[in-house]
Amino acid sequence: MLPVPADRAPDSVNTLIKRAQALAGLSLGELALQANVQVPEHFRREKGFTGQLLERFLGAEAGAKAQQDFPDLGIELKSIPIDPSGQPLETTYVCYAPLLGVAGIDWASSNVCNKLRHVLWVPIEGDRSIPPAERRLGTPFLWSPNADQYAILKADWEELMERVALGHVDSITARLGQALHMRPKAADGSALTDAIGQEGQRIRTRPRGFYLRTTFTAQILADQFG
Amino acid sequence: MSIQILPAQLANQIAAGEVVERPASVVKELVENSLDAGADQIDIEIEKGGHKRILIRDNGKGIARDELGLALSRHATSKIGTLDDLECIVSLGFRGEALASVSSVARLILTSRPPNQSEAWQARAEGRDMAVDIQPAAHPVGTTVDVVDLFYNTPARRKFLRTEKTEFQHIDEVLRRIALSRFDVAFSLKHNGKVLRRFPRCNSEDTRLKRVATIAGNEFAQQALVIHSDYQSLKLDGWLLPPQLARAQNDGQYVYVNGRMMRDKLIYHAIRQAFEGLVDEQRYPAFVLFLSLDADQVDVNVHPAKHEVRFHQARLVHDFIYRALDDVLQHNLTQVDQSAERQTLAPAVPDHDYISPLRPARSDHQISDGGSRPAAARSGATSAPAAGYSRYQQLMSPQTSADPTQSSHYWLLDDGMVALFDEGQLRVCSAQQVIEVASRVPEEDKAVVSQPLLMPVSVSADSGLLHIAQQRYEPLLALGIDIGWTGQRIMVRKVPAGMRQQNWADILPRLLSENATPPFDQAWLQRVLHPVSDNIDENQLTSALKLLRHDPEGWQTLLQRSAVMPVASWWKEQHNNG
Repeated sequence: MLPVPADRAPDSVNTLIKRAQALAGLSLGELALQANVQVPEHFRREKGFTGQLLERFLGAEAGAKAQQDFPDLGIELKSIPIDPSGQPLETTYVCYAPLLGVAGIDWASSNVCNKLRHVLWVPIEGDRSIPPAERRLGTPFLWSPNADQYAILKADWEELMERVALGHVDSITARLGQALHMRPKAADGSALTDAIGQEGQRIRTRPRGFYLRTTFTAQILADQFG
Repeated sequence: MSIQILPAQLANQIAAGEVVERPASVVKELVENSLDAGADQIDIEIEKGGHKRILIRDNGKGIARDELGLALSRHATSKIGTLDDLECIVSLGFRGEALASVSSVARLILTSRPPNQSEAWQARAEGRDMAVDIQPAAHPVGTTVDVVDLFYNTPARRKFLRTEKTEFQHIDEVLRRIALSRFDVAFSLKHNGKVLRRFPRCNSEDTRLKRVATIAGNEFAQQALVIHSDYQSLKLDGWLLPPQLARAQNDGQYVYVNGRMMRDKLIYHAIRQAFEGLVDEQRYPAFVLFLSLDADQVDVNVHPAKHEVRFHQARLVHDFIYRALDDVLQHNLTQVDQSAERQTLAPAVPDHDYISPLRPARSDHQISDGGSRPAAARSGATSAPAAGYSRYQQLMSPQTSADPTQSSHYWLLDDGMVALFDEGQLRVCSAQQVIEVASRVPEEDKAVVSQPLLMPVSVSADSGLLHIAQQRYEPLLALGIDIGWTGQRIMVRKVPAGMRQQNWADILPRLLSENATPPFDQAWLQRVLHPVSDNIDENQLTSALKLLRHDPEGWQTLLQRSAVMPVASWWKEQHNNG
């Protein structure tokens, strides 16, 4: 009765949902045992473990990080750590924020929009007091932004990307953006990448990523499990 | 000092501080007025770098005699009339300040004759109230503004004036910039009686290039790359020098937005970005660029001298300029002949390969770019559970005593019994019976809709419990409860709609109790959810009774199970014995 890792990509949304729902309530330890992999002692170093494990059971196409997890279905997989009361514990990483080559890219063709069109959310117990192997998966669900959420994401993205394009990337703080914000991505603050400066010149700055605020993801969970 | 209204002259002098910085600013304001008046011949005469005299003569549409006085007052203009006009400025000026400002800091004579007037009139404003004096004069059709002794009454400002030569160079630069923006207008510039510039009207590509050569240099005119680019309603036209010919000075940079000369940060940012890496740090690219866009897409009311504008879609404009220039520069780099044809930019796509076209998925998961469809799609996806939930809420809503016909039907007695009143009879039954009968009311009244728990609830299981779970999986599913198991645990994943707040960790073991016997139906579920030993919840009882009242069959069943209290005989008995 325990699910087994998928040997190929899901051929339909239904298949994906079925696979995902079969994981609800199971612990990472149980899944790891099924997949014959080792659960790390703690997640500080292996942050991507949960995602990778999920990808194996759901049949996501591994590798290309910038691609959607289920490109044929146009669905992105996002695990979301929650506390005992069901609230998100941390912001949700969406994708890498391009700082160069952004001229003329609009929201509809952006990778943020592309990734957030359809998301398969997988809640997971994230309380630090629970050892990784004992953390259980919540009930996965498929989500698309409603009209309001879509408008908020779009407005946030446009405001952030305007600053990037006009050379004000250094003025972007994590406070900017109602649902979507941008902040340095690298764990190590010394990594640098090219960006556009205030005068249009090249500058070096820390790489950034797009993240969803917890207030936004909490609302998504509340809408689903209210 | 007490508060008082400033005299007109002083108010104008203050405004002049923003607009009239030096003789060249006077020339700019007045020439723009001439252009707005539709002139195609504008002659400028300067004496002593503009310190002594600035005279602008045009052949525009002139100012009627009656309006001459107004023309010299502040906040008087023919260029806009309403706030809506301000949203969509097509003239160069609009503030209605230039003439009044200049005439407050210089001796200004305005002479004009519109075509429909046989004679010209001359106006001058004087004194602290700027009273206007009007005299007849001789003048061809058009307008002449004669500005003498600039800053004669504002010595502080006069101190900032540079030498005649420097001020004249500023004037010359202003004229060059304006001349580049209007090839259809002839200009001439005299200094101290000598003609120094003459720009004839240009009506061909050749003559236009000639004017460019006069203003930006022969090298520029010969070597410049041509740019004609558009994207949506944006257009960028002009010339730019190949990056390898960049200059040591930044004097070859001309930018116009809808014909207005501009030093706008956003535009220069885009240009700099396009030349990034192609031009040496110490050198400056040279360009003459004309950006045109819909007038309502740009706000020119930002800066009194209008050197800066605000674009409604700043990033769109910025990126368009960058991409248009980048396009030309890249073509130049690869030595491909630049065609003079207009280039229409293709919409940009991210240069990563991760955008895969969305396959038309099931319609309830489809969303549109416009953002209008998601709402519909979403409501479609959730309507079934929502409906189930509302039905359930209806079912479970406590009966309010405000409804007399309902509330007078029963009383919950202390010992778990219920007294009912039906057609003149008092009946009793146990509360548990009410619940049970209500639970047998046909299914359609309580459609089973399952909802997932955010975090499934589980109990640890031995093989015996696992066996029970496997046996009860189907009947529980029919009741809206989805259970699952692993080797060691049994869990609840989905529960009937509206019941997510129940304590499923307590309920699950009861659902799997080995003492339970089939049928595993609603009645059984109700017993599990509300064990007999528990105090009957009054709300639950109310709901059950309400449900039964609307189900004649159920109500009859309940009546059959209840006992009629023989109130009359009991009374008689009491009475007789008493």
